[in-house]
Amino acid sequence: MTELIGSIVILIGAVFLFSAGLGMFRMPDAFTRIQAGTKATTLGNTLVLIGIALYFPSWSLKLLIIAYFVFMTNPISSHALARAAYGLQGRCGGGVRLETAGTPDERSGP
Amino acid sequence: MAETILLAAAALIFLGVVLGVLRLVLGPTAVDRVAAIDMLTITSISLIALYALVAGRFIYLDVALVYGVLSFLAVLAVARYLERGP
Amino acid sequence: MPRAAVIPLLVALGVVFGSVAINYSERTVLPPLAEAYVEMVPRELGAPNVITGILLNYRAFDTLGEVAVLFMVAAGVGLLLGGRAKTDDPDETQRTAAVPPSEIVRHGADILVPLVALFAAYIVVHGHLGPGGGFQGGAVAASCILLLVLAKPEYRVKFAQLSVMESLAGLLIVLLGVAGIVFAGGFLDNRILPLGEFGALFSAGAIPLLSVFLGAKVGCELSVIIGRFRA
Repeated sequence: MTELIGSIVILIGAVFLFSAGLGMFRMPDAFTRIQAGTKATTLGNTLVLIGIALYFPSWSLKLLIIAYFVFMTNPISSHALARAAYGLQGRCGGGVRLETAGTPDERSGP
Repeated sequence: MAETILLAAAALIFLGVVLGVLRLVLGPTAVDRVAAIDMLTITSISLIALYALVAGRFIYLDVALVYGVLSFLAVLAVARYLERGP
Repeated sequence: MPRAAVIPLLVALGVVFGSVAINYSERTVLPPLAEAYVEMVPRELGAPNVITGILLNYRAFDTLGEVAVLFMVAAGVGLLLGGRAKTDDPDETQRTAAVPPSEIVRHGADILVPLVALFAAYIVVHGHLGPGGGFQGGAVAASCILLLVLAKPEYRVKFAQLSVMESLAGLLIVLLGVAGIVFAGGFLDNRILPLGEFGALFSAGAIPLLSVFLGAKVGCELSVIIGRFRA
C-alpha cells in the first residue's frame, strides 16, 4: 500500500521535472529560463526523494540529506547565475523596462 | 501497478531531459546553456535515486549526493566567471 | 559547424546509445578472473568493496604511481602559473574585488563548506564499504576549497601549509608500505592491522588508513592546482 502511494508521489515529482524541461524549452528569455529550470527541478527532486523514502523507510536519513542539500544549493547557484546574466545583458526580456538604482558596477548589494 | 507508474515517471523525466538538451543546443547565449546544464544535472540526481530504488542498492545514493555537490560548484564557477565580463 | 547540423548528430548519438542501453542484459556468470577476485577479496582482505580492495591492496603499487602522476601535474601547474600568483600587487586585488559575490552566495558558502568537508571525510573513510576511497574523497575536498575560493574573494589559499601536508601524507603512505613489508606479506599489505568484522567501519586492516592518507594527499594537490588558477 505504501508502495503505491510512493510511486504516485514519484509520478507527481516526475511531472514537475518534465514541466521544468518544457519551461526551459519554451520560455522566451534567459531570466525566465533560469526560473523555470530551478524552481521546478527543486520541487520535483524533493517529491521524487520523498516517494523513494516511502518505498524504503530505512533509507530516509540519506534521502533527507540529499533533499536538504538540493534545497540549499539550487537557489544559491541560480541566484549567482541570474546576477551574472543581469550584468551581461542589463535588462529583462519581453519588453519589460527595469528601473533600478544603477548598473551592477555602482550597486554594492546583492 | 506500482511498476507501471514508475515506468511512466521515468518516461516523463526522459522527455524533460530531451527538452533540456534541446535548449542546450539551441540556446543563443552562454547563460541559457549553463541554465540547461544546471537543470540536467539536478534531474540526473533524481534519475540516479530512481535507479537506486529499482536496483535495490543503498550505496548508489552516495553517487547522487556527489552529483549534487558537483552541479552546484559547476554553475557557481561559470557564473562567477561570467560576472567578470564577457 | 552550423547549428542546424548538430540536431541530426544528436539524434544519431541517441540512437546508438539507446540501442546499447536497450540491448543491455546483466551478466549472470562472471568471467573466471573476476570470479576469483570476487571470492578472494572479502575472504582475505575483509573488505566488501572489491574494487577498493584491488586498488588499495593487490595493485597498491600502481596507486602509488598514480599519486606520483598527480604530484607531477601539481608541480607543473605550479611552475607555469606560480610566478604570477606570488605577486600581491594592488591591481590584482582591485580586479578581483570589482564584482564581489553577493551576500547570498557568501552566507550560503558559510553554511555549505562544513557540509561539503564532512561529506569528503565520509567518502574517504567509507572507501572499503561503498563507492569512494582516497581519490574520490580528495576530489570532493578540493571542491570544498573551490567553493571557498569562489565565494570569498579575500580567501588566500595557503600554499605553504598545503605543500607541507601533502609531503607528509606521501611520507606516511611510504611508511605504511614499509610497515607492510616488515610486519606482513608485502608492500602496502593491509594485514598489519586486524581485519575486524566484515562490513563495519573499522575493518579491512590498513585500507581505511591508507584511504585517509591518499585522500589528504590528493586533496592538497588538487587544492594547490585550483589555487594557482585564480585571477
